[in-house]
Amino acid sequence: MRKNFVLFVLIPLLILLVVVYLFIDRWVEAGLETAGEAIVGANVEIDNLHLSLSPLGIRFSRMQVANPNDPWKNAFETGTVQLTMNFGQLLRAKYVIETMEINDLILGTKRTTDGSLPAGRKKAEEPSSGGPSFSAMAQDLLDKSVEKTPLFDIAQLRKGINIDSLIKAQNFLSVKHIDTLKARATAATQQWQGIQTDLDKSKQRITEISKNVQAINPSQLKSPDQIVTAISAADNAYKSINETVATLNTRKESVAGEIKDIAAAVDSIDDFARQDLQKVKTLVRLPDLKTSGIAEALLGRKMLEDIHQYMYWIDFARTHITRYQSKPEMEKPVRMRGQNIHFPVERAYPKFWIQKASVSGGTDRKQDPDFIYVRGEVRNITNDQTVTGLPMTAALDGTRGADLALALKALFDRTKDLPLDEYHVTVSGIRLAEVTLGRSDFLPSTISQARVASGIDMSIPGSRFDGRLKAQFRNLTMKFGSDPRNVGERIARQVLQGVHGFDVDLRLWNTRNAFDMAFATDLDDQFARGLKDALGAELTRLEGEIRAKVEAKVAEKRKEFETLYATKRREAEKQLAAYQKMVNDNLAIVDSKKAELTAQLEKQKKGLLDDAVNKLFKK
Amino acid sequence: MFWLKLVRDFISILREGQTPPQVAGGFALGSIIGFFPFFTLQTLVVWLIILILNVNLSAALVALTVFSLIAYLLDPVFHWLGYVLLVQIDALRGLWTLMYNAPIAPLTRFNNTVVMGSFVLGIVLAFPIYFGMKSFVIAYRKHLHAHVEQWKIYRVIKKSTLVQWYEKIRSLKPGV
Repeated sequence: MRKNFVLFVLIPLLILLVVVYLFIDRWVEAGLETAGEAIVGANVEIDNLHLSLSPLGIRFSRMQVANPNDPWKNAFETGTVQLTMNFGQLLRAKYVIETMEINDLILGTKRTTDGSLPAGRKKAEEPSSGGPSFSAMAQDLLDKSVEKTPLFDIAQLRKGINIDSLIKAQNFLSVKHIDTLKARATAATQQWQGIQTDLDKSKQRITEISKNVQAINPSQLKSPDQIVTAISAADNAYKSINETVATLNTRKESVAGEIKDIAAAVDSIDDFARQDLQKVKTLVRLPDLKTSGIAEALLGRKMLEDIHQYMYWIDFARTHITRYQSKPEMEKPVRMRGQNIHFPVERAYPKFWIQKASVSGGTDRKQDPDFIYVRGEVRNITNDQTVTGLPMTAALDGTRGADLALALKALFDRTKDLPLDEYHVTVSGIRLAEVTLGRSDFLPSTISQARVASGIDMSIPGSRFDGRLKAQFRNLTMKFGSDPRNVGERIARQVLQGVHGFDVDLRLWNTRNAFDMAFATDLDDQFARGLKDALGAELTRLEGEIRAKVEAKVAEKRKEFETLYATKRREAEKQLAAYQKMVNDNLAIVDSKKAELTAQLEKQKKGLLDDAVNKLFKK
Repeated sequence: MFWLKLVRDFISILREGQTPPQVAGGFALGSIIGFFPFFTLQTLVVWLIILILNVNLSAALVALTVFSLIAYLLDPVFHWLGYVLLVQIDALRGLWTLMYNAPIAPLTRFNNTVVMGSFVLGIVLAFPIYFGMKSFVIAYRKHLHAHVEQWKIYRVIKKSTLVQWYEKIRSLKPGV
């Protein structure tokens, strides 16, 4: 026997084998824990791991994976887990798990110890998905939603806004319009004064003409020639008066036209006043009775908060399920580690592949009558889907008590250059014991005893996101923690207490690096109907108050204008009437004088004729 | 202790015993292993070559030690060279894909940038290292040996009780 061989090879080998046999379980356990911690960034604890060689497999009684964001809670914990591996592929350094059973999987359990990693151990660097995370985008949207509180509080509205000072400060269109009319009226008045001066002059002229005509004494006119000359003078006087009157009439008509325009423009004061009223109402921000936005303010933030939580897991799936890149970017690895470049593989196994994992879990049926039970399968968990050519899929069905039913289907496709994640979730019979709604600054409230059915569809191709949530809330009761702080809250509560169910349709999608949200619900309409009843009178009264004040201000200005206008118009009309009478009188004088002269002329003509006949017969 | 013995053996080998090509061969092959960042199939192959060929083992171990340190410094160069060869030269892509799908080749971890870079640079540098070392051994034996024996450090190593004790254990024959 070779003593040296026995001493230095065989015995150490046997000792090594015994040590390996005794400690292999602990080593594998420690290895898995370390690898898991590097991936998750928080404590991973495995209990009672046992490695079996035939068939090759691992079994452990419990695994706890701490939540890196909340180390006093587990992201999940499992009961017994067992898996069988492909021994042939293991010799090729490939971890192909043919079947895996995960029992009693429970999410979010509390921990008795802190699950964060020691300060010295660096958290695994998050793989980048090539853009900002959805979680960050959801946080942005959440932050923006705070800025959109509607001004709904009537009491605050009344306290905070002084209608008088607001009206005083406004440059009303109607007032401006009246001022313009006043200016026009003043200009017309000045024009009228010019006419008045001319009127006085023409009065004198007409009087002079009239005097000259009156001065003609038909009886003193002896010859027909003299009479004809006098008639001609009377005609000229008549014509002169008419010409003077015509000139004045033209100017008078111009002023009258302006006055008529001003009178027509007075009617449009009402239109401007209506515009001014609307402007003041807008400035006061009277709540819209359609109430669109109330439901979003009430529910949107709560839903966004929930979405923000789930986005962490969506980001986790996007970043941790390896995507295929035909030419990977050059990384900066730790010294002497290098970067592994992967090439297309045909008819081969990937480095790591769980072909089928059966998952079941829930709460203790004996202790909890409303126990949760979930079961399902996750297929094709692998480090390289291009090798398997199969996307990872998950199909889970769950129940809670007798009412709640849940179905989740998910697909994580990394077989192509553009990664694709899809989620389809349907939940029915969710019993909401207590859900906090609203915001500290707007209607803080809770929904209790509600039943919810919901459907969620999400599609995430590459860095795009398109998700839709439809939920039906039924049998709900609104509860309010404290007394209403103001009239607005009191009215809103009164309205909401009459709401016992509503539907919500929320769509969330991203454009570039920000989320957009479309939120539709019939709660707005229900709220509007209730609000109309409860708030209508108050709003009408407030609107009336504003209307009265605006109208009063406009009426004051209008009265000023109308007084001025009426006075000036009366004066002008009086003067015109007097002038017209004077003209008429003088024309009458000229007419009568002309008639006298004509009669005289006829008489003269007849006298001459008689004389000529007499002379003829005398001969 | 082992390393003291190794250095002493290496100095004595430079002086006498194996031929300069054997020493230079061991040193060159050791340098290749020294460049590798971790144990791979090619590490094993090079070790087998060292054991099969009658090259100097101490020289290989010294080279491994020295070039491991150099490799740490040259890591960025290895990474860059490996990345260029594996990713940026399209003509080689078919070869890498073929090797990636071959049954044994993945055990060489050739698809790691540092492994690829260090392997290529190690092979390329092995030749100048071999010829350089060979010339150095010849020159040492002719001109430098007498000076080195006068070095205090050499005498300390040579007379070290630890080294002497280790040699005694090693010289024990089976069955004695």
